Amino acid sequence: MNTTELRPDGDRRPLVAVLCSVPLLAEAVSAALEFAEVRPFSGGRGDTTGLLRWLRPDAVIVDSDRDAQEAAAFAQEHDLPLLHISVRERELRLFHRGTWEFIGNGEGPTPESIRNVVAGMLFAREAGLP
Amino acid sequence: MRRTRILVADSLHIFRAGVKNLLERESDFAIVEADSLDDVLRVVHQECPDIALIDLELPPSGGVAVVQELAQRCSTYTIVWSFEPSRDAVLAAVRSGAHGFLHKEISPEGLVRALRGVVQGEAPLSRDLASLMIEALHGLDERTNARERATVLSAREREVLDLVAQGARNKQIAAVLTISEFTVKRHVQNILKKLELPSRKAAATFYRTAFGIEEAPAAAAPIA
Repeated sequence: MNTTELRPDGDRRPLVAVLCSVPLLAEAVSAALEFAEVRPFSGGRGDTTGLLRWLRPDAVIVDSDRDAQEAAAFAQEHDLPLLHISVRERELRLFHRGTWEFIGNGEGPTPESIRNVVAGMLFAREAGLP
Repeated sequence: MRRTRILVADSLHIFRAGVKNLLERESDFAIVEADSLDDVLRVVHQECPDIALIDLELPPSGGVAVVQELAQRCSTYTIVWSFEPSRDAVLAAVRSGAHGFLHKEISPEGLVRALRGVVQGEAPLSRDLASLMIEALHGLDERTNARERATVLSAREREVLDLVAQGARNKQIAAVLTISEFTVKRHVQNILKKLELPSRKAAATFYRTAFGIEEAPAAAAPIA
């Protein structure tokens, strides 16, 4: 059973958990992922794994090293796309197949790059692509 | 109703997008964006904003320079913001004319409240930043007082004290200034007497306070 089947309102959109210690980032991500149901949470509060186990999202976005580290284990276990937006380092990283990859061409994280990566990874996952 | 025109100046696209998305939901704000000083000047050339939210690290020269530029051109309320600002950064921004300073980790509700407060004439400054600024002002007073006290020293005594503050011994100071060790000792005694300080160590601390010099690391060798 996946998350969309659990939701009582019949919302079939993918569920994206956004854990942000910078709340204004969650605003930007919510606007960029108009095709998804975005659930923002305060980041860096600990027990990220517990939150993700309870929520069972289709993708995860974090903005702190600590959440990125904790969420990576969960993402690997459940084969979920995990994005780390580092505003201080101006970087966007994707956790995929057990390793972190840098995304983009040096312009830093943008709403478009986040949307493209999340949409692409969700599509690939749904289609059973590697 | 006239909407409050807000300039969001930040080089990070996603940050501007977050602020824009938030404020566009409110009917009383209109948003314009800029990603550099040049972009800010382009925006204000068209119309001065009512409020400018300026990133402390806005390229190419930082937010403080932008505040100064804006002050010459517009009567815009300027708010600088950043992650984990130092007390000197907050003080520099306010001294350059910024009307407030905010953390970038501010909540969406907090930002909206702060911007509406600015319209009402309030100066947005979170509690911890207010404390930082008071600390910085105290530090500044201390430095000014110390510099005034240092004016009683002669030019040669200032040179000696500078070297003392760098950790130099009398022999080393004598070599650098090409004077005898005895003369150095006499200068040090005069310095302590004039500044009413108890020890060489206190004199070094005084000098570092007056001129904002970092203490040399313990492991570092004193002056050659």
